Amino acid sequence: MRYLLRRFLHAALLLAGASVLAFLFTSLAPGNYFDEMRLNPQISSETLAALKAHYDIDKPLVVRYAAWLKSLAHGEMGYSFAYNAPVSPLLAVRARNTLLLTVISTLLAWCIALPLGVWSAEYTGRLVDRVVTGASAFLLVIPDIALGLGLLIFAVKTRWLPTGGMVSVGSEGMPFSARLWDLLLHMVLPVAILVLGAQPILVRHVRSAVAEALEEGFVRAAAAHGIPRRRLLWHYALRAAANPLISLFGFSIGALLSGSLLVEVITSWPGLGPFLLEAILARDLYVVIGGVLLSTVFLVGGNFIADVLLFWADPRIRTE
Amino acid sequence: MEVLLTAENLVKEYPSRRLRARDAAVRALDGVSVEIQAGARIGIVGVSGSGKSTLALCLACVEKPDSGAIRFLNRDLTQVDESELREVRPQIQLVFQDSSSAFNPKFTAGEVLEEPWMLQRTWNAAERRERGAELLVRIGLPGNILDRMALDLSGGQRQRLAIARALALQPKVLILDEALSALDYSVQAQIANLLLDASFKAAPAAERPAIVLISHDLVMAARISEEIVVMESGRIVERGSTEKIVRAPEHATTRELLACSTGVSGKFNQRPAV
Repeated sequence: MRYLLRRFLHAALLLAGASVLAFLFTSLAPGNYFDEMRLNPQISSETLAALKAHYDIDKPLVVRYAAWLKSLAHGEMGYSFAYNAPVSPLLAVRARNTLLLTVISTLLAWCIALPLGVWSAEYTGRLVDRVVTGASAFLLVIPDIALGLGLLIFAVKTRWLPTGGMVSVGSEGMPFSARLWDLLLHMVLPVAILVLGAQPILVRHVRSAVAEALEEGFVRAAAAHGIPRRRLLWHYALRAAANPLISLFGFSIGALLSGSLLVEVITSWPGLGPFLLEAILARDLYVVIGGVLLSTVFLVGGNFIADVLLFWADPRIRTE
Repeated sequence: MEVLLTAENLVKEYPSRRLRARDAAVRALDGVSVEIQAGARIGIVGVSGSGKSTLALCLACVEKPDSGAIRFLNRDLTQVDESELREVRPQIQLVFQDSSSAFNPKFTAGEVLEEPWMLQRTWNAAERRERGAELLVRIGLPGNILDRMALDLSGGQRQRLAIARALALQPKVLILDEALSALDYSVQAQIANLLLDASFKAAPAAERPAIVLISHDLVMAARISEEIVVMESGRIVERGSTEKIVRAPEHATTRELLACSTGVSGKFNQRPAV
């Protein structure tokens, strides 16, 4: 329990630090949202100054940070210049769309990678293993963008799947089941790209961890005792191999928000990726900071979850 | 007496690890034959590299010999497939020298003991626990260590747990591959007594396992076994009753082993107290 509490405090401190750094670095970047307005002859310099004053952009960093903390306490996380609205609701909607995509594809990727990796480790050097490792090597060398574009071409040629967006035009009037089906169809493509892209790394990690565990003395001893192979694989080897895999799982949680940026852009999924990209280009300060912090929350949260899982899975950590 | 397990003319080679020496394979077993009768206690002794551990691994079907046969109740174990082998494995149990690497690091002592029963669905959880505690007491361990992690136990306790685990399914053959060697002498003696107990008194004749003790320590082997086999470079150089081996060793290796174990070269001619 003390261990978990310590990890939790650690995570909180990390978040506070990240918010300070996010402020520092964004203020170091040259220019701000209103600089481009200066070129517009229709906006007077008085208006600009008033806008800047309104958004506190002319105040020193410490004051702005304090103001931001206050708005965070109100659940707003600052104000978006471009959308003229508080940041949190804007982020929340996009984060939800992104999470819908990434949670499903992460779970799917693990559900495929675990059996494939274990299977491949069990038959090391045999045909199954060679096919699996060969296929994952093949996927590994294909850049995600090529994979995505390839699948897009496939979708366009066959007309089986929608090629972009999250919903079809005019889907609002449809009954719930039809809307759900529509959403699922739109998800197939981005999820497929994400799963295929994550697959090789996961499979390889699972395979090597399990193969190593199968060589352990206690697994061989258990085999000599007459423990069934299936139990050896899933109960002994996979559990022994669990620690590095759990850490890897923590990273996949950390990548939930950021990992799908490219895919969202090429399939025009209305998630965080395109939104943040736009905000960065427009120097929409608080949106960028919000995005950075949200990503940090997931990274820290992912690690925390991995720690909890490790704590649960490995008695040796518990006695530490 | 019924012959349980026999090894006939076993040959086992390990490939050399050197890159170039293609024909420099190590011949760990070179035509070894042994016969183990039901309830017998047989000691296999030899120096390091004499092939005694390889013999143990082959007898327990952990390693497959290159040629020769291993017969268990008239079935040649070198010819059967893994699923058939699995039915036999519970009856031939092997205890390793290093129990710290023989237990699943995530198991408690109780889980180690109860796992075979769980797999065989013999009893329910409460009964298994009771049996586990019973077995612990029989093997000289306090019953309250069931919930401790197996790897947290001391070396002697762990080794006893390993023996208890091996005895859990009432095997017909118990092979101890240097299972006592890493322990200090008093613990060795305790476990030796315990083994004699396990094979003599505690169990009725039908459940009494045959014991194969692999050791470099001839005195320890003599203390436990009725028959001793001496190995050197993958061959059996001498065999006979413990009495004969200890009193009148014929082969030079046997005499050396005796001298090493006793520290009194050649003068050892008393059978150790059992």
